[in-house]
Amino acid sequence: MRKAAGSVGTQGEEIGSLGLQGLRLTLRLCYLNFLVYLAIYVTGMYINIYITSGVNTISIGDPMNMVHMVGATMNFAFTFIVMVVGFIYGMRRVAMFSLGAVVSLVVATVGGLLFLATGGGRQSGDLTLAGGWLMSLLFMLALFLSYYATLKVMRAVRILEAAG
Amino acid sequence: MAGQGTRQRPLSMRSTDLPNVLGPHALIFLAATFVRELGQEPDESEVLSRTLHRIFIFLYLQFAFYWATIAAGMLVNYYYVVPASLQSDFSSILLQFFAAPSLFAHVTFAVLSSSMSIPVVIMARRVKLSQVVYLHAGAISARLVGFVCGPLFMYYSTSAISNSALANISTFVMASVFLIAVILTFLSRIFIVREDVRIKYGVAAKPLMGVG
Repeated sequence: MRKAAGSVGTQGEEIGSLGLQGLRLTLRLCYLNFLVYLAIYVTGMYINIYITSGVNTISIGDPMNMVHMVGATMNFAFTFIVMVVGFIYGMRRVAMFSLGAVVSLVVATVGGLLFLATGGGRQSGDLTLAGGWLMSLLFMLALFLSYYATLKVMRAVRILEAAG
Repeated sequence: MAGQGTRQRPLSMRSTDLPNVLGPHALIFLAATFVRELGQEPDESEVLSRTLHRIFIFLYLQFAFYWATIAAGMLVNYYYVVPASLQSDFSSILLQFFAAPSLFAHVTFAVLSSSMSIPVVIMARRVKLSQVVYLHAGAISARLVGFVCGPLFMYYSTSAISNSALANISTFVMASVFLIAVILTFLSRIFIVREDVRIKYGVAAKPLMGVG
């Protein structure tokens, strides 16, 4: 991990060695990641309320499910990039929060696949519901962790701006 | 050479040097200054920093309660079924919230999560963080809409009404407005961090939109 660039009066702050332009770019990526989180939250809600409510089931080929899965893949990719940036440019907290989010997203995806593979409906059994639980809770955890990583990046941007 | 071999007076005179120079009047001046400083309130930035720290604590609690609301909501979503015996009147629906533990937990955590915005608004008002006040006022309003849509879902699901389309819309609106509330509270933290950096580094940060 690279050492953070020494700045006067920023002791205890993680500003990393990426520089202001790089940090701004990373912050934009974080904001974009949130838009994708929002999209998969809404599609997830739609699937939950309008497709799998009652006895209906959903398959992997369902258009809404495909949108949901593409969104989740984009979330994974963006969070992974932020994690790598954090590790390479000496922002430990950003890296660790993003790592947590990446692991959560992977396990949540396994949960989602379990939900689909074991029936894809609320009446499909305990294993299906367990998959649903895993998917929803870990997705929310990933959202929170990504949020904290975003705040750290934003703080670093503000400090660099303030320090000139 | 003048001053050579003798002790020279430092360029900046300390306050303790004053009595030697000015005599007993300086002592009175120093005593008055000391008394004034004792009675002085803490530094403005220190108060602001302390208030921001308290706001952070309430925001952490709010997110924890929000997560608990989601978890309890999942329980409701998967395991709770509106009983066929439920009447389509206000008191029956209200009592139903206490009848099912998962529903009770869901509503309780939602109320707790929402109520955390109140101390945040009060403290943000005190330190004149108007954006935070507006964002949390918006979050409270969004949640109030959610608190109407939740019982509406139960109303449309009762056997007397049995309108699944409106019940679904109510649930969708409830979940959406809670999401909006979370986004607003997330945004509020961005402004708090900005203010925190400003008071620590003493330079006015640029507007948020200029960065993102």
